[in-house]
Amino acid sequence: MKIYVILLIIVFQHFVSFSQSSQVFNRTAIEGELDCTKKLSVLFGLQSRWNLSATSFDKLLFKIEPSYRINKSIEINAAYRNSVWKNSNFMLDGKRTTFANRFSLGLRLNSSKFKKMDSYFRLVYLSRIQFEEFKFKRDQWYWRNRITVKAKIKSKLVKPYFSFESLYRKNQFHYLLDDDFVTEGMVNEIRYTLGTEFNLNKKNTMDIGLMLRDYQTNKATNFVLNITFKHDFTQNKKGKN
Amino acid sequence: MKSILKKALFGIAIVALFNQCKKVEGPGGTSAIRGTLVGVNFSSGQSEIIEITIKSGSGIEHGDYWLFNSPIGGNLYYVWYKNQNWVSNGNPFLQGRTGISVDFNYSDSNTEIANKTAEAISLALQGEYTMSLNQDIISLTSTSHSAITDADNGTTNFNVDISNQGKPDVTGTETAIADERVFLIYGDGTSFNETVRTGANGIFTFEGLQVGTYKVYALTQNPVTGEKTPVYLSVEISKNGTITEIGQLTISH
Repeated sequence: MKIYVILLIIVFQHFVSFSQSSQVFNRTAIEGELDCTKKLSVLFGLQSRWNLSATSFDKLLFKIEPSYRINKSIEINAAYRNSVWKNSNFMLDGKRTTFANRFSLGLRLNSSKFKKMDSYFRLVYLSRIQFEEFKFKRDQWYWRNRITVKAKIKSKLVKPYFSFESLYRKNQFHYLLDDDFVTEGMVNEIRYTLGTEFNLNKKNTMDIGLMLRDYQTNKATNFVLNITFKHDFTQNKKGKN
Repeated sequence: MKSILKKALFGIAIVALFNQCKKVEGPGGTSAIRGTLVGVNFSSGQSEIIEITIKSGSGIEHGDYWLFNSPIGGNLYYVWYKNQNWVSNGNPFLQGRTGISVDFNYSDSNTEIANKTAEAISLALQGEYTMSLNQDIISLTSTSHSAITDADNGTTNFNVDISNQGKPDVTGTETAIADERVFLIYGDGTSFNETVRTGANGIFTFEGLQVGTYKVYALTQNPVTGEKTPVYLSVEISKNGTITEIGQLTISH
């Protein structure tokens, strides 16, 4: 247990060192999960985003995320997300809000079959291709890869985790070279999240995490405080993680 | 419960499909507009201004004359003075010139002679000059910008001064204009949304545009008044990832 505490202190110290030049955001979400069949489950939720540093509302999002379980270790994950925020291009279309549609498709692998490793922690790897279209911004294509390490501790209430995610934008640069449009990609963001899930009871979970958004561009590094309440609508739960 | 949820999800999916971003003209696209700004260099000319200081009758002799000219191809004049006491006609009959005769007396003051001269000239002019009289000074200002052969006091002792030399307007050749601003208006807007400067070869490009209609304009300068007004070109981008060539946008500068 001591080793977890030391690790936590090291990671928090790392985050705090960034805090002087960044802003703090909050994401508060309510999610629901339902197993439609033995293999197909759907996660859906509403999320609001706030800029705590500027004390202003940022975005409102709705997502729906179906997953199809091939076996215990492999899952196909798809997602749709609609986000709404204040339109800074009001003069162009006369609308006070603007929105974006995001679609993604990916694969989730978990380490449940690696029994030896599984006794200490569990690894979850999610790789997905993501497309998002905006009204007044260029379309964005991303390849996102996230590794989550979930510690296995004796407590049934707390499930701490740490995740690392790289976001590779395929069309980060778009410019004219002679007579041809050229796009170039780059890893424009790396996210580190440290958090924990709290099992409130069999059906309800609370997830609190602190995420560091380390942009690889000129954007300032940001902190995001994630708070998610999740309810499992599935009746007669059996062996769910 | 499951069937309700399935229906809800299906409904959400349908809504999401209809809720696609309908893009409007503006930033965020993958197309471009490209053109070349060309201009004609215009140099405004000058009007010729002649100031003639008229002397009194005692200083003029019967048959004296002075000369002034119109722009090339126009009338050439001589103004001559006639005293009624003389039997001879006194007209110098200068070949190729139109004579303007002014009756005078030796006792006339300079302002009286100037009045009579101005009256005679105003009857003869055919729009080449505008004239004004101030005491004994007659000013003739050419109505066009052109080079004019200088006036001459002839046989009189009048002071003939060219206070402003006439000069023609010069229209240069059409050349590409570098480092000049070109503006872009999205859709039916009235004020510009983007602006770029032309490169060394006069080429300008607006990038990252969505499908739709746009207006490109540059400011042209009125050669006479110096006033700047926009010259518009309407452009339609019909496909993503394309460059719409608008050719030349011509201005005066």
